[in-house]
Amino acid sequence: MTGRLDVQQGTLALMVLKTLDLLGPLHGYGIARRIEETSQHRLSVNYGTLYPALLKLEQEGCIRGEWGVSESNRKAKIYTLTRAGRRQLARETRHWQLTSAILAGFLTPSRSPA
Amino acid sequence: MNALRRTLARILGLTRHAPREEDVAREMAAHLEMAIDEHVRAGMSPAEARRIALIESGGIQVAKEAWREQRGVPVIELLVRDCSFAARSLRKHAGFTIAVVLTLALAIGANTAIFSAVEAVLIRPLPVPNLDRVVTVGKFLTEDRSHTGLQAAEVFDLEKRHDIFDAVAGYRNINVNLTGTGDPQRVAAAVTTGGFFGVFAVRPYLGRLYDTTVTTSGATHVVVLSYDFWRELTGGDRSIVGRHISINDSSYTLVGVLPPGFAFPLGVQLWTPQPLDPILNRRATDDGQHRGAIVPTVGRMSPGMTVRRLQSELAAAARGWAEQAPKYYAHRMPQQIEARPFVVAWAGDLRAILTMLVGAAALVLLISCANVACLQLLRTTGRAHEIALRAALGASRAAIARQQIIESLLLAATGGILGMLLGQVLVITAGRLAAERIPQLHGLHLDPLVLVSSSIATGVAAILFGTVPAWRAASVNAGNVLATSTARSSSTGRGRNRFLHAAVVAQVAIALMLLLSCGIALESLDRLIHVDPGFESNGVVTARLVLPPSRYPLTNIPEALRLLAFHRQLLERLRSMPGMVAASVVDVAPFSYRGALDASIHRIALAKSVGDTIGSHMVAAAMWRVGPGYFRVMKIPMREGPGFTGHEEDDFLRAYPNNGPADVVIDDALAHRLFPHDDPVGKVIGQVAPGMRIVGVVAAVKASDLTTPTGDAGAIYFMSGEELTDVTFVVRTRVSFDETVAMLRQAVHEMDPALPLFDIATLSDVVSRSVGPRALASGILTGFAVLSLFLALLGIYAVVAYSTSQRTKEIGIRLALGAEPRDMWRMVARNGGALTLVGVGIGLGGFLAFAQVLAGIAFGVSTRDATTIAILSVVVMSCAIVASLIPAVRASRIDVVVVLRAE
Repeated sequence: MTGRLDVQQGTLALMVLKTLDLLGPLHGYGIARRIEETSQHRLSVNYGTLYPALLKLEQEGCIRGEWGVSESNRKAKIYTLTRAGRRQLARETRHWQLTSAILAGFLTPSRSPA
Repeated sequence: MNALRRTLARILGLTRHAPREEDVAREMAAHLEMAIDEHVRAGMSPAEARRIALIESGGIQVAKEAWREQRGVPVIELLVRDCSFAARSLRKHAGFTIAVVLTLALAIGANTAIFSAVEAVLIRPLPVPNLDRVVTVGKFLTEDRSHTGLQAAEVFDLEKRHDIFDAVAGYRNINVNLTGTGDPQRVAAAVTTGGFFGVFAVRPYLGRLYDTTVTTSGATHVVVLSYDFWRELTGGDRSIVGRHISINDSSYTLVGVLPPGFAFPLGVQLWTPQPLDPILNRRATDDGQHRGAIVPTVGRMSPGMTVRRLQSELAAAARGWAEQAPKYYAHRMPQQIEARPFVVAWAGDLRAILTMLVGAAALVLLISCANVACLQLLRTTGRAHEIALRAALGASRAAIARQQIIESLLLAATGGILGMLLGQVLVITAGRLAAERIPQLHGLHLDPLVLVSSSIATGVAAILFGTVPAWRAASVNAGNVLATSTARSSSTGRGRNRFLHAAVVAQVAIALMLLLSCGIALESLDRLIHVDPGFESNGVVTARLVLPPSRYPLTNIPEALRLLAFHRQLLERLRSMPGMVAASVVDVAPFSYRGALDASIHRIALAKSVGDTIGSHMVAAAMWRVGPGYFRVMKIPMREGPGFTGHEEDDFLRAYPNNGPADVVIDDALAHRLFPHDDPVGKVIGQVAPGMRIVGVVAAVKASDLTTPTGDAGAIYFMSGEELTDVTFVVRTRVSFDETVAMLRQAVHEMDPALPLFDIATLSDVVSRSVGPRALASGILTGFAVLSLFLALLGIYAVVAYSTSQRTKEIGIRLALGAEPRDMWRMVARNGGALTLVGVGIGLGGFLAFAQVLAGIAFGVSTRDATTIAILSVVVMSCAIVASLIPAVRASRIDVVVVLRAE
């Protein structure tokens, strides 16, 4: 388990939205697993960060949760991306790309005179 | 947008519609099961799978807490929890809670009521814009320092001065008979010039208000009603506007209704535009000899005009008048034209009294704050142990302080709400009871602004005094407190003691100051009530009668004689009734004068002998028209001369066509001023021939106010006067008030059944009404003083009891070592005694420094009256000593063994 990072709040929301966008309606466990897998298990997502984040997204109207049945026939709350969520995802993605580009520029060593 | 939606959802999260906790629990359980399933599929044993899944997922409880925080607004949830904890804690200490809440409630209630009165009387008496631009214009008579109105011609002149006034209006109070709307009734009305409503810039509630055009158009048969009277008369019927009502048997059109709260002149229900002075209007050419009736005048200054500049403009105008009509003004009393802010004239004597009460109320607020501070401080000190324990168990300093703030807030809020209710009750009571005697208080209501500000003041005090000590308590080393508080031997913090002592001293000082003020006020009131007005008011009943001009015209001498005959016949009827001692008639009964904005006291300028016109030879005197027998009814002793002996009709006939001098009786004050060395009887005085012949000298009486020196201006009594239609009958009887009233009504009914009698009162009531504001102020002061004494004693008791409890061990040891209980007694009481002495000293100093404030209420007793001061100081000291003796006695009864064991 060494080297695993706890996921940061701000980025978690984006990851949740992207996951739902790619995989369609999904339950909390599925979302967590998918994020961990995509990060090649470099991130760990536990209840304490996931469920408050889901609740927050629900409160914002980005996702909607309904009780349904999982693929393994268990009762689970299935989350769906809403239209507002899709818009939010597009916005956040742009924002994040911009941020990471800027950060990359900062962090790349470059001694060329300005 | 998202933030907004989230906030909304979080607030909803506090309600029932919240995402439910069971839901998330089930969701997390499902999550766990799925993780276990997956681990099992990967080949783990179910137990191992569960263990790993649990580790991976993190703590469920922590997750739930994080979820909960996201769900609602954590601050509010915390607040709710803290509030219920605070409420429990306060309930547990009921004595403390009740003391603080009551103190706060009384202070807030008292302050709210007083400041509402101040707002209503001194600051914003009428609901009109820019009241600060409204002034009263009148004359100040230097000789007797009285204020009076302008003359009609002067009002008309000022109406043209658009450079200094936006509007000017003269008015007169009259009473009219209103018929055609149910039972005939007497209504207090104001006759005004057209500009009256323009002066106040008041907007109608219904219909329209008349303006200056009525004078030119002559459409003067219109009336405007007060809001209250409109409600009373029509039950709020809006369609009444435009209808006709009958006033004094003439038809008038009701054109509008004033907004609620507009009550000027005081008590008036009906306004109508009328020529101010019939004679002046009748004469097309002003010969400079007649300037019209004296009327109170109000004006609205032009924007940018100040009272000071207006004053100099008016002085210039007055010089102009004197040049225009030199003969006329040469006969007048020395007088200055003056403009006063409307609110000053409105408040009159009440200003001084209210100023003093505001001071008293502020002191009550101060003493309450000190008291609450003491109680809070003692409580937190007593709770040092509890607080330290909570700190030791991990409560942060902020959490402990927050808890204290919430407790203090709860106390302040409860006190505030109770105070609000109390204020409401006081204000309503004052509005009802006091309004009869102090018309300015009519319709008094709780002022929301005042309520808010005094609540804030007390709330801030409560919180400040609750929080600061708590903060300090939380900051002390918990271990120290826990170790020492059981022993209770360590001396309490020096700073804290110093504060407590200062608070007690302040309370004693304030209580003494208030008690002294109250003592002066009560002593003054007592002396005032026992002042001899110069007449015997007991047994006299007064009743007004107005003869409507339609049936009792007064335009020539035969009509005047008919009115005199009516008076005589009515008096004869009254005198023949059983139980009647004496009956007479007067134009205005003594003490019926209604304040500075009323001009119902008539004055006359007199010269020592006919033909004297030089100003310095003239004196002013109050003028009364009386019927025969007036002095007998009032029991005013005749000092010299026979008095009125002739027939009043003869006298009238002689005086009016100027055939000969009218007979007059003067009072001894006037006699002394006019003829300090000679016998006045038989002398002829006046300005123009034939003058007035003095036929008697009576003792001087007080005319309107018990506080003015008797016979201040001097009085002159006529039998022949012009005021024959609005008169007051005065009767002295041996029977009860009710029987007297019945006799009066019967006599009037026999003469003319359509005539109503009104303003029926015993003369004693009329006189005592004049001390109404002082009586009310004294009552309020007494309440304040008793309250503050009680609070101060509570403070002393609490502090002494507290410091005794801190020294229980010391006392126990001393007793064990053989000290007498009496020594303990002395030791503890000395503590309270010393504080009291300092407090009394400071209170005396403060009182002597500010005693001037009481000048408005003191009468016949110095504001620094030594006896009062001495007695009350002793009272305060003895009470304080008793309060500190209670814990002292308890200390002396300490059971040594129990105390020492307990340690």
